[in-house]
Amino acid sequence: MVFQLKNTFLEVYRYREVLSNILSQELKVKYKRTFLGYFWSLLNPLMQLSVLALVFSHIVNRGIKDYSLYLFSGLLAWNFFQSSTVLSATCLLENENFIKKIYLPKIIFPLSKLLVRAVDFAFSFLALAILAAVFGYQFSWVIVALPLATLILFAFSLGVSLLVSVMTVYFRDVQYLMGVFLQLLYFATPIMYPVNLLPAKYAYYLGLNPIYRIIILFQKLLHEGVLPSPTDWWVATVVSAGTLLVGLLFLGSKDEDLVFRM
Amino acid sequence: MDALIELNNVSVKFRKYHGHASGLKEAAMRMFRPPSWYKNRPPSKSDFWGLKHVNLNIKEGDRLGIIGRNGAGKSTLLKVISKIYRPTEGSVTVQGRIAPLIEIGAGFNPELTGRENAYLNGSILGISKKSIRSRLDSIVQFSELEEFIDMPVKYYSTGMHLRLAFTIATEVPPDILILDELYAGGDAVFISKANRRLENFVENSKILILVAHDLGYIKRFCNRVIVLDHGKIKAEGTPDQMVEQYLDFCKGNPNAFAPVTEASL
Repeated sequence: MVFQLKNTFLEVYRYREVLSNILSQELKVKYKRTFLGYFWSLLNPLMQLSVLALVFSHIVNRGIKDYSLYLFSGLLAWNFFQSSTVLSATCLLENENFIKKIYLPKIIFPLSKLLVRAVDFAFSFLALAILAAVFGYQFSWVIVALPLATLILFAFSLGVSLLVSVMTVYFRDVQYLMGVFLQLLYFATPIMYPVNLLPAKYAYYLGLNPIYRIIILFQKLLHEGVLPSPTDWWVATVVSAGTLLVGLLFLGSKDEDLVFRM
Repeated sequence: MDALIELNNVSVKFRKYHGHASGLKEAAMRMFRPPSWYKNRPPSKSDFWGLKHVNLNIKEGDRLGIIGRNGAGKSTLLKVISKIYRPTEGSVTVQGRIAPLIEIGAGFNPELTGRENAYLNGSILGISKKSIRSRLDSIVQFSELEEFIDMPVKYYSTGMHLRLAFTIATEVPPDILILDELYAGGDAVFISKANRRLENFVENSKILILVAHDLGYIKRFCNRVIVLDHGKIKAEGTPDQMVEQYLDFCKGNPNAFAPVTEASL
Protein backbone atom coordinates (compact mmCIF):
# COMPACT_ATOMS: atom_id res chain seq x y z
CA MET A 1 0.00 0.00 0.00
CA VAL A 2 2.76 2.41 0.99
CA PHE A 3 4.69 1.34 -2.06
CA GLN A 4 1.70 1.97 -4.29
CA LEU A 5 1.16 5.47 -2.87
CA LYS A 6 4.83 6.31 -3.22
CA ASN A 7 4.68 5.09 -6.80
CA THR A 8 1.71 7.35 -7.55
CA PHE A 9 3.54 10.39 -6.20
CA LEU A 10 6.68 9.57 -8.16
CA GLU A 11 4.66 9.12 -11.35
CA VAL A 12 2.86 12.44 -10.91
CA TYR A 13 6.24 14.05 -10.36
CA ARG A 14 7.73 12.38 -13.41
CA TYR A 15 4.79 13.47 -15.54
CA ARG A 16 4.54 16.97 -14.06
CA GLU A 17 5.17 18.61 -17.41
CA VAL A 18 2.32 16.66 -18.96
CA LEU A 19 0.12 17.81 -16.10
CA SER A 20 1.07 21.44 -16.58
CA ASN A 21 0.52 21.13 -20.33
CA ILE A 22 -2.92 19.56 -19.88
CA LEU A 23 -3.78 22.21 -17.32
CA SER A 24 -2.81 25.09 -19.57
CA GLN A 25 -4.65 23.59 -22.53
CA GLU A 26 -7.81 23.12 -20.46
CA LEU A 27 -7.65 26.73 -19.40
CA LYS A 28 -7.09 27.81 -22.97
CA VAL A 29 -9.89 25.72 -24.41
CA LYS A 30 -12.33 26.74 -21.68
CA TYR A 31 -12.93 30.31 -22.71
CA LYS A 32 -11.77 30.00 -26.29
CA ARG A 33 -13.79 32.16 -28.64
CA THR A 34 -15.56 33.96 -25.83
CA PHE A 35 -15.40 37.71 -25.99
CA LEU A 36 -14.51 38.23 -22.35
CA GLY A 37 -12.13 35.27 -22.06
CA TYR A 38 -10.56 34.74 -18.65
CA PHE A 39 -12.60 37.59 -17.28
CA TRP A 40 -15.47 35.10 -17.07
CA SER A 41 -13.65 33.30 -14.29
CA LEU A 42 -14.10 36.42 -12.20
CA LEU A 43 -17.44 37.50 -13.62
CA ASN A 44 -19.10 34.12 -13.10
CA PRO A 45 -18.76 33.86 -9.32
CA LEU A 46 -19.33 37.58 -8.99
CA MET A 47 -22.67 37.38 -10.76
CA GLN A 48 -23.69 34.12 -9.14
CA LEU A 49 -22.98 35.46 -5.69
CA SER A 50 -24.71 38.75 -6.38
CA VAL A 51 -27.85 37.11 -7.71
CA LEU A 52 -28.08 34.69 -4.82
CA ALA A 53 -27.45 37.43 -2.29
CA LEU A 54 -30.11 39.58 -3.88
CA VAL A 55 -32.71 36.85 -4.00
CA PHE A 56 -32.07 34.90 -0.84
CA SER A 57 -31.31 37.68 1.58
CA HIS A 58 -35.02 38.49 1.32
CA ILE A 59 -36.23 34.90 1.60
CA VAL A 60 -34.02 33.05 4.05
CA ASN A 61 -32.97 36.04 6.07
CA ARG A 62 -33.55 34.42 9.45
CA GLY A 63 -31.64 36.78 11.59
CA ILE A 64 -28.22 35.86 10.28
CA LYS A 65 -25.87 38.76 10.49
CA ASP A 66 -24.38 39.48 7.06
CA TYR A 67 -26.40 36.76 5.39
CA SER A 68 -24.79 37.17 1.99
CA LEU A 69 -21.35 36.73 3.48
CA TYR A 70 -22.56 33.54 5.17
CA LEU A 71 -23.90 32.32 1.85
CA PHE A 72 -20.69 33.16 -0.02
CA SER A 73 -18.36 31.48 2.40
CA GLY A 74 -20.19 28.16 2.19
CA LEU A 75 -20.85 28.46 -1.51
CA LEU A 76 -17.20 29.04 -2.41
CA ALA A 77 -16.21 25.71 -0.93
CA TRP A 78 -19.30 23.92 -2.22
CA ASN A 79 -18.87 25.18 -5.78
CA PHE A 80 -15.33 23.91 -5.86
CA PHE A 81 -16.29 20.50 -4.51
CA GLN A 82 -19.29 20.13 -6.79
CA SER A 83 -17.74 21.30 -10.03
CA SER A 84 -14.49 19.42 -9.63
CA THR A 85 -16.22 16.13 -8.86
CA VAL A 86 -18.76 16.55 -11.68
CA LEU A 87 -15.95 17.31 -14.14
CA SER A 88 -13.90 14.40 -12.88
CA ALA A 89 -16.73 11.89 -13.16
CA THR A 90 -16.35 11.71 -16.93
CA CYS A 91 -12.68 12.65 -17.24
CA LEU A 92 -11.33 9.14 -17.79
CA LEU A 93 -14.00 8.38 -20.38
CA GLU A 94 -13.34 11.67 -22.14
CA ASN A 95 -9.68 10.86 -22.38
CA GLU A 96 -10.26 7.39 -23.75
CA ASN A 97 -8.17 8.44 -26.72
CA PHE A 98 -5.16 9.05 -24.54
CA ILE A 99 -5.65 6.10 -22.26
CA LYS A 100 -6.02 3.59 -25.10
CA LYS A 101 -3.22 4.90 -27.23
CA ILE A 102 -0.44 6.01 -24.95
CA TYR A 103 0.65 5.41 -21.40
CA LEU A 104 -0.09 8.15 -18.87
CA PRO A 105 -0.70 7.78 -15.15
CA LYS A 106 -4.49 7.90 -14.83
CA ILE A 107 -4.44 10.25 -11.87
CA ILE A 108 -3.26 12.99 -14.24
CA PHE A 109 -6.80 13.39 -15.60
CA PRO A 110 -8.83 13.96 -12.41
CA LEU A 111 -5.94 15.95 -10.99
CA SER A 112 -5.91 18.32 -13.95
CA LYS A 113 -9.69 18.84 -13.64
CA LEU A 114 -9.21 19.65 -9.98
CA LEU A 115 -6.46 22.15 -10.74
CA VAL A 116 -8.58 23.86 -13.40
CA ARG A 117 -11.22 24.34 -10.75
CA ALA A 118 -8.60 25.53 -8.30
CA VAL A 119 -7.94 28.44 -10.64
CA ASP A 120 -11.66 29.27 -10.57
CA PHE A 121 -11.58 28.91 -6.81
CA ALA A 122 -8.84 31.52 -6.60
CA PHE A 123 -10.84 33.85 -8.83
CA SER A 124 -13.93 33.42 -6.68
CA PHE A 125 -11.94 34.72 -3.72
CA LEU A 126 -11.16 37.76 -5.78
CA ALA A 127 -14.89 38.11 -6.44
CA LEU A 128 -15.51 37.77 -2.71
CA ALA A 129 -13.00 40.53 -2.00
CA ILE A 130 -14.76 42.79 -4.47
CA LEU A 131 -18.16 42.10 -2.92
CA ALA A 132 -16.74 42.59 0.55
CA ALA A 133 -15.53 46.01 -0.50
CA VAL A 134 -18.94 46.85 -1.96
CA PHE A 135 -20.98 45.59 0.99
CA GLY A 136 -18.47 46.76 3.55
CA TYR A 137 -17.67 43.43 5.22
CA GLN A 138 -14.72 43.22 7.54
CA PHE A 139 -12.66 40.02 7.64
CA SER A 140 -11.01 38.92 10.83
CA TRP A 141 -7.33 37.99 11.03
CA VAL A 142 -8.36 34.33 11.20
CA ILE A 143 -8.50 34.22 7.39
CA VAL A 144 -4.78 33.42 7.55
CA ALA A 145 -5.98 29.86 8.25
CA LEU A 146 -7.77 29.71 4.87
CA PRO A 147 -4.91 27.91 3.09
CA LEU A 148 -5.21 25.03 5.53
CA ALA A 149 -8.97 24.80 5.03
CA THR A 150 -8.39 24.97 1.28
CA LEU A 151 -5.90 22.13 1.43
CA ILE A 152 -8.44 20.00 3.31
CA LEU A 153 -11.12 20.86 0.75
CA PHE A 154 -8.82 19.97 -2.16
CA ALA A 155 -7.79 16.65 -0.63
CA PHE A 156 -11.40 15.67 -0.01
CA SER A 157 -12.51 16.71 -3.50
CA LEU A 158 -9.63 14.83 -5.12
CA GLY A 159 -10.52 11.71 -3.15
CA VAL A 160 -14.16 11.85 -4.28
CA SER A 161 -13.06 12.71 -7.84
CA LEU A 162 -10.84 9.65 -8.05
CA LEU A 163 -13.65 7.42 -6.80
CA VAL A 164 -16.29 8.69 -9.21
CA SER A 165 -13.95 8.87 -12.20
CA VAL A 166 -13.15 5.17 -11.87
CA MET A 167 -16.72 4.17 -11.00
CA THR A 168 -18.05 5.92 -14.12
CA VAL A 169 -15.87 3.74 -16.32
CA TYR A 170 -17.55 0.64 -14.93
CA PHE A 171 -21.02 2.04 -14.48
CA ARG A 172 -21.79 4.89 -16.83
CA ASP A 173 -24.91 5.54 -14.75
CA VAL A 174 -22.76 7.09 -12.04
CA GLN A 175 -22.37 10.37 -13.91
CA TYR A 176 -26.14 10.89 -13.91
CA LEU A 177 -26.72 9.61 -10.40
CA MET A 178 -24.12 12.08 -9.25
CA GLY A 179 -26.15 15.07 -10.36
CA VAL A 180 -29.11 13.98 -8.26
CA PHE A 181 -26.98 12.98 -5.34
CA LEU A 182 -25.08 16.26 -5.30
CA GLN A 183 -28.30 18.23 -5.38
CA LEU A 184 -29.57 16.28 -2.41
CA LEU A 185 -26.30 16.84 -0.58
CA TYR A 186 -26.43 20.53 -1.37
CA PHE A 187 -29.82 20.97 0.24
CA ALA A 188 -28.87 18.73 3.15
CA THR A 189 -25.92 20.96 3.91
CA PRO A 190 -26.42 24.31 5.66
CA ILE A 191 -25.10 26.57 2.93
CA MET A 192 -28.12 28.64 1.96
CA TYR A 193 -29.78 28.35 5.33
CA PRO A 194 -28.32 28.66 8.82
CA VAL A 195 -27.61 25.48 10.71
CA ASN A 196 -30.15 26.33 13.43
CA LEU A 197 -32.93 26.16 10.85
CA LEU A 198 -32.54 22.37 10.81
CA PRO A 199 -34.86 20.56 13.20
CA ALA A 200 -32.94 19.21 16.19
CA LYS A 201 -33.59 15.58 15.25
CA TYR A 202 -31.48 15.99 12.11
CA ALA A 203 -28.48 17.36 13.97
CA TYR A 204 -27.05 13.85 14.31
CA TYR A 205 -27.22 13.24 10.56
CA LEU A 206 -25.60 16.55 9.86
CA GLY A 207 -22.62 15.35 11.84
CA LEU A 208 -22.27 12.50 9.35
CA ASN A 209 -22.24 14.82 6.37
CA PRO A 210 -18.57 14.91 5.36
CA ILE A 211 -18.73 17.99 3.17
CA TYR A 212 -20.38 19.97 5.96
CA ARG A 213 -17.40 19.18 8.18
CA ILE A 214 -15.25 20.99 5.64
CA ILE A 215 -17.60 23.79 4.67
CA ILE A 216 -18.03 24.80 8.29
CA LEU A 217 -14.33 25.68 8.34
CA PHE A 218 -14.91 28.26 5.63
CA GLN A 219 -18.07 29.57 7.27
CA LYS A 220 -16.29 30.07 10.56
CA LEU A 221 -13.21 31.66 9.06
CA LEU A 222 -14.94 33.96 6.60
CA HIS A 223 -18.35 34.69 8.10
CA GLU A 224 -18.09 34.29 11.84
CA GLY A 225 -14.50 35.44 11.91
CA VAL A 226 -13.52 32.87 14.51
CA LEU A 227 -11.00 30.07 14.44
CA PRO A 228 -12.62 26.63 14.07
CA SER A 229 -12.22 24.49 17.18
CA PRO A 230 -9.47 21.86 17.27
CA THR A 231 -12.22 19.24 16.93
CA ASP A 232 -13.45 20.95 13.76
CA TRP A 233 -9.95 20.83 12.34
CA TRP A 234 -9.12 17.26 13.09
CA VAL A 235 -12.48 15.86 12.03
CA ALA A 236 -12.19 17.66 8.71
CA THR A 237 -8.60 16.52 8.30
CA VAL A 238 -9.39 12.89 9.04
CA VAL A 239 -12.41 12.94 6.72
CA SER A 240 -10.49 14.40 3.80
CA ALA A 241 -7.27 12.45 4.27
CA GLY A 242 -9.28 9.25 4.61
CA THR A 243 -11.31 9.99 1.48
CA LEU A 244 -8.16 10.78 -0.47
CA LEU A 245 -6.51 7.60 0.69
CA VAL A 246 -9.53 5.48 -0.28
CA GLY A 247 -9.64 7.24 -3.67
CA LEU A 248 -5.95 6.64 -4.34
CA LEU A 249 -6.15 3.00 -3.35
CA PHE A 250 -9.29 2.46 -5.41
CA LEU A 251 -7.71 3.97 -8.49
CA GLY A 252 -4.57 1.95 -7.84
CA SER A 253 -6.50 -1.28 -7.65
CA LYS A 254 -8.36 -0.62 -10.92
CA ASP A 255 -5.58 1.20 -12.75
CA GLU A 256 -4.56 -1.67 -15.00
CA ASP A 257 -8.08 -2.86 -15.68
CA LEU A 258 -9.50 0.50 -16.79
CA VAL A 259 -8.14 0.42 -20.33
CA PHE A 260 -9.95 -2.88 -20.97
CA ARG A 261 -13.29 -1.40 -19.90
CA MET A 262 -13.40 1.61 -22.19
CA MET B 1 22.04 1.98 -19.05
CA ASP B 2 21.33 0.02 -22.19
CA ALA B 3 17.86 0.02 -23.67
CA LEU B 4 16.19 -3.31 -23.16
CA ILE B 5 12.82 -5.02 -23.50
CA GLU B 6 12.01 -8.33 -21.86
CA LEU B 7 8.72 -10.16 -22.13
CA ASN B 8 8.40 -13.17 -19.95
CA ASN B 9 5.59 -15.60 -20.73
CA VAL B 10 3.22 -12.70 -21.44
CA SER B 11 -0.50 -13.32 -21.97
CA VAL B 12 -3.20 -10.70 -22.38
CA LYS B 13 -6.85 -11.53 -21.89
CA PHE B 14 -9.59 -9.39 -23.35
CA ARG B 15 -13.08 -9.56 -22.05
CA LYS B 16 -15.74 -9.06 -24.64
CA TYR B 17 -18.98 -7.68 -23.27
CA HIS B 18 -22.14 -8.41 -25.14
CA GLY B 19 -24.85 -5.80 -25.01
CA HIS B 20 -25.03 -3.53 -22.00
CA ALA B 21 -24.76 -6.22 -19.42
CA SER B 22 -22.14 -4.42 -17.41
CA GLY B 23 -24.40 -1.55 -16.31
CA LEU B 24 -25.47 -0.64 -12.84
CA LYS B 25 -28.92 -2.12 -13.35
CA GLU B 26 -27.50 -5.48 -14.29
CA ALA B 27 -25.21 -5.45 -11.28
CA ALA B 28 -28.18 -4.73 -9.03
CA MET B 29 -30.40 -7.34 -10.68
CA ARG B 30 -27.68 -9.94 -10.32
CA MET B 31 -28.05 -9.73 -6.57
CA PHE B 32 -31.71 -10.66 -6.66
CA ARG B 33 -31.82 -13.24 -9.42
CA PRO B 34 -31.20 -16.89 -8.61
CA PRO B 35 -28.12 -18.35 -10.30
CA SER B 36 -30.40 -20.64 -12.32
CA TRP B 37 -31.75 -17.59 -14.14
CA TYR B 38 -28.40 -17.24 -15.89
CA LYS B 39 -28.10 -20.90 -16.77
CA ASN B 40 -29.91 -20.96 -20.08
CA ARG B 41 -28.88 -17.53 -21.23
CA PRO B 42 -25.94 -16.78 -23.46
CA PRO B 43 -22.99 -15.55 -21.39
CA SER B 44 -22.85 -11.77 -21.10
CA LYS B 45 -19.10 -11.83 -21.49
CA SER B 46 -16.53 -14.07 -23.05
CA ASP B 47 -12.78 -14.15 -22.89
CA PHE B 48 -10.39 -13.82 -25.71
CA TRP B 49 -6.64 -14.10 -25.51
CA GLY B 50 -4.91 -11.33 -27.47
CA LEU B 51 -1.50 -12.72 -26.65
CA LYS B 52 -0.59 -16.14 -25.31
CA HIS B 53 2.69 -17.10 -23.67
CA VAL B 54 4.88 -14.66 -25.53
CA ASN B 55 8.58 -14.69 -24.69
CA LEU B 56 10.69 -12.01 -26.23
CA ASN B 57 14.06 -10.43 -25.51
CA ILE B 58 14.98 -7.28 -27.36
CA LYS B 59 18.41 -5.76 -26.88
CA GLU B 60 20.09 -2.60 -28.04
CA GLY B 61 20.83 -2.79 -31.73
CA ASP B 62 17.79 -4.95 -32.40
CA ARG B 63 15.51 -3.79 -35.18
CA LEU B 64 12.58 -6.05 -34.71
CA GLY B 65 9.97 -6.48 -37.39
CA ILE B 66 6.60 -7.91 -36.45
CA ILE B 67 4.45 -9.42 -39.16
CA GLY B 68 1.20 -11.29 -39.05
CA ARG B 69 -2.35 -11.14 -40.28
CA ASN B 70 -5.03 -8.79 -38.95
CA GLY B 71 -5.94 -9.74 -35.42
CA ALA B 72 -2.75 -11.73 -34.88
CA GLY B 73 -1.86 -9.62 -31.84
CA LYS B 74 0.68 -7.21 -33.32
CA SER B 75 -0.84 -4.03 -31.88
CA THR B 76 -1.57 -5.77 -28.58
CA LEU B 77 2.08 -6.68 -28.33
CA LEU B 78 3.11 -3.08 -29.01
CA LYS B 79 0.65 -1.84 -26.39
CA VAL B 80 2.05 -4.23 -23.82
CA ILE B 81 5.55 -2.96 -24.52
CA SER B 82 4.43 0.65 -24.23
CA LYS B 83 2.66 0.00 -20.89
CA ILE B 84 -0.84 0.70 -22.21
CA TYR B 85 -1.87 -2.88 -21.46
CA ARG B 86 -0.67 -4.63 -18.36
CA PRO B 87 -0.33 -8.34 -19.15
CA THR B 88 -2.86 -10.64 -17.51
CA GLU B 89 -0.05 -13.10 -16.92
CA GLY B 90 3.69 -12.87 -17.18
CA SER B 91 5.99 -9.90 -16.77
CA VAL B 92 7.36 -7.08 -18.86
CA THR B 93 10.56 -5.13 -18.31
CA VAL B 94 11.32 -2.06 -20.35
CA GLN B 95 14.42 0.08 -19.92
CA GLY B 96 14.91 3.30 -21.81
CA ARG B 97 12.85 6.22 -23.06
CA ILE B 98 10.15 4.90 -25.32
CA ALA B 99 8.39 6.69 -28.18
CA PRO B 100 5.40 4.69 -29.33
CA LEU B 101 3.74 5.69 -32.60
CA ILE B 102 0.98 3.16 -32.45
CA GLU B 103 -2.02 5.07 -33.65
CA ILE B 104 -2.25 8.33 -35.49
CA GLY B 105 -3.26 11.09 -33.15
CA ALA B 106 -2.24 9.35 -29.94
CA GLY B 107 -1.27 11.96 -27.39
CA PHE B 108 -2.77 14.79 -29.44
CA ASN B 109 -5.60 17.03 -28.37
CA PRO B 110 -7.63 17.89 -31.48
CA GLU B 111 -8.72 21.26 -30.06
CA LEU B 112 -5.16 22.49 -29.69
CA THR B 113 -2.89 23.86 -32.40
CA GLY B 114 0.01 21.91 -33.83
CA ARG B 115 2.41 24.02 -31.81
CA GLU B 116 0.57 23.43 -28.52
CA ASN B 117 0.35 19.74 -29.33
CA ALA B 118 4.08 19.62 -29.94
CA TYR B 119 4.60 20.66 -26.31
CA LEU B 120 1.94 18.31 -25.01
CA ASN B 121 3.08 15.34 -27.04
CA GLY B 122 6.71 16.11 -26.29
CA SER B 123 6.06 16.10 -22.56
CA ILE B 124 4.23 12.78 -22.84
CA LEU B 125 7.27 11.34 -24.62
CA GLY B 126 9.50 12.66 -21.85
CA ILE B 127 10.96 15.63 -23.73
CA SER B 128 11.17 18.80 -21.68
CA LYS B 129 9.44 22.04 -22.59
CA LYS B 130 12.79 23.75 -23.04
CA SER B 131 14.00 21.07 -25.38
CA ILE B 132 10.85 21.26 -27.52
CA ARG B 133 11.04 25.05 -27.63
CA SER B 134 14.57 24.97 -28.99
CA ARG B 135 13.63 22.38 -31.59
CA LEU B 136 10.31 23.78 -32.65
CA ASP B 137 11.64 25.39 -35.82
CA SER B 138 13.22 22.20 -36.96
CA ILE B 139 10.03 20.26 -36.11
CA VAL B 140 7.95 22.66 -38.19
CA GLN B 141 10.40 22.48 -41.03
CA PHE B 142 10.74 18.71 -41.12
CA SER B 143 7.01 18.14 -40.87
CA GLU B 144 6.38 20.78 -43.56
CA LEU B 145 3.67 22.39 -41.49
CA GLU B 146 4.84 26.02 -41.72
CA GLU B 147 1.41 27.40 -42.61
CA PHE B 148 -0.56 25.09 -40.36
CA ILE B 149 1.36 24.91 -37.11
CA ASP B 150 -0.95 27.42 -35.41
CA MET B 151 -4.11 25.74 -36.63
CA PRO B 152 -6.07 23.32 -34.40
CA VAL B 153 -5.04 19.75 -35.12
CA LYS B 154 -8.66 18.71 -35.73
CA TYR B 155 -8.44 20.42 -39.13
CA TYR B 156 -5.32 18.46 -40.09
CA SER B 157 -5.38 15.80 -42.78
CA THR B 158 -4.20 12.30 -41.94
CA GLY B 159 -0.90 13.02 -43.64
CA MET B 160 -0.34 16.21 -41.66
CA HIS B 161 -1.12 14.36 -38.46
CA LEU B 162 1.34 11.66 -39.33
CA ARG B 163 4.07 14.13 -40.25
CA LEU B 164 3.77 16.02 -37.00
CA ALA B 165 3.58 12.87 -34.86
CA PHE B 166 6.55 11.22 -36.55
CA THR B 167 8.66 14.35 -36.38
CA ILE B 168 8.02 14.94 -32.68
CA ALA B 169 8.68 11.31 -31.81
CA THR B 170 11.99 11.21 -33.65
CA GLU B 171 13.23 14.78 -33.14
CA VAL B 172 14.98 13.74 -29.94
CA PRO B 173 15.99 10.16 -30.71
CA PRO B 174 14.30 7.91 -28.14
CA ASP B 175 15.94 4.76 -26.83
CA ILE B 176 13.07 2.70 -28.14
CA LEU B 177 11.05 3.68 -31.20
CA ILE B 178 7.85 1.82 -31.99
CA LEU B 179 6.19 2.31 -35.35
CA ASP B 180 2.90 0.71 -36.25
CA GLU B 181 2.00 1.02 -39.93
CA LEU B 182 3.80 4.32 -40.01
CA TYR B 183 3.42 5.20 -43.62
CA ALA B 184 -0.33 5.20 -43.99
CA GLY B 185 -1.10 8.68 -45.26
CA GLY B 186 2.34 10.12 -45.84
CA ASP B 187 3.29 11.32 -49.30
CA ALA B 188 6.34 10.11 -51.23
CA VAL B 189 8.49 13.12 -50.38
CA PHE B 190 7.87 12.84 -46.68
CA ILE B 191 8.29 9.08 -46.66
CA SER B 192 11.73 9.30 -48.20
CA LYS B 193 12.69 11.99 -45.67
CA ALA B 194 11.34 9.87 -42.85
CA ASN B 195 13.23 6.84 -44.13
CA ARG B 196 16.48 8.77 -44.07
CA ARG B 197 15.82 9.78 -40.52
CA LEU B 198 15.03 6.21 -39.58
CA GLU B 199 18.27 5.00 -41.12
CA ASN B 200 20.13 7.53 -39.01
CA PHE B 201 18.32 6.29 -35.97
CA VAL B 202 19.13 2.71 -36.78
CA GLU B 203 22.82 3.53 -37.12
CA ASN B 204 22.84 4.85 -33.57
CA SER B 205 21.97 1.30 -32.58
CA LYS B 206 18.91 1.87 -30.39
CA ILE B 207 15.86 -0.37 -30.44
CA LEU B 208 13.41 -0.13 -33.30
CA ILE B 209 10.17 -2.08 -33.43
CA LEU B 210 8.33 -1.99 -36.69
CA VAL B 211 4.94 -3.36 -37.59
CA ALA B 212 4.21 -3.25 -41.29
CA HIS B 213 2.21 -5.07 -43.88
CA ASP B 214 4.64 -3.74 -46.44
CA LEU B 215 7.21 -6.50 -46.30
CA GLY B 216 9.71 -4.40 -48.24
CA TYR B 217 10.03 -2.11 -45.22
CA ILE B 218 10.56 -5.03 -42.94
CA LYS B 219 13.42 -6.22 -45.13
CA ARG B 220 14.88 -2.77 -45.38
CA PHE B 221 14.92 -1.77 -41.71
CA CYS B 222 14.86 -4.91 -39.62
CA ASN B 223 17.56 -7.34 -38.66
CA ARG B 224 15.20 -9.68 -36.85
CA VAL B 225 11.60 -10.65 -37.52
CA ILE B 226 8.88 -12.45 -35.61
CA VAL B 227 5.66 -13.76 -37.10
CA LEU B 228 2.59 -13.54 -34.90
CA ASP B 229 -0.44 -15.74 -35.36
CA HIS B 230 -3.42 -15.97 -33.01
CA GLY B 231 -1.51 -14.24 -30.25
CA LYS B 232 1.48 -16.54 -30.37
CA ILE B 233 4.94 -16.21 -31.84
CA LYS B 234 4.66 -18.56 -34.77
CA ALA B 235 8.17 -18.18 -36.09
CA GLU B 236 11.27 -16.11 -35.70
CA GLY B 237 14.33 -15.55 -37.81
CA THR B 238 16.08 -13.33 -40.30
CA PRO B 239 13.96 -10.93 -42.36
CA ASP B 240 14.54 -12.68 -45.68
CA GLN B 241 13.74 -16.10 -44.28
CA MET B 242 10.64 -14.95 -42.39
CA VAL B 243 9.18 -12.86 -45.20
CA GLU B 244 9.53 -15.76 -47.60
CA GLN B 245 7.94 -18.24 -45.20
CA TYR B 246 5.20 -15.79 -44.26
CA LEU B 247 4.22 -15.28 -47.90
CA ASP B 248 4.12 -19.03 -48.29
CA PHE B 249 1.94 -19.27 -45.16
CA CYS B 250 -0.43 -16.64 -46.49
CA LYS B 251 -0.88 -18.68 -49.65
CA GLY B 252 -2.33 -21.41 -47.47
CA ASN B 253 0.58 -23.66 -46.63
CA PRO B 254 0.12 -24.53 -42.95
CA ASN B 255 3.62 -25.98 -42.70
CA ALA B 256 5.31 -22.97 -44.18
CA PHE B 257 7.33 -22.18 -41.09
CA ALA B 258 10.37 -24.12 -40.11
CA PRO B 259 10.00 -25.04 -36.44
CA VAL B 260 11.33 -22.44 -34.05
CA THR B 261 14.59 -23.81 -32.78
CA GLU B 262 16.41 -22.85 -29.63
CA ALA B 263 19.25 -21.51 -31.71
CA SER B 264 17.09 -18.97 -33.51
CA LEU B 265 15.81 -17.56 -30.20
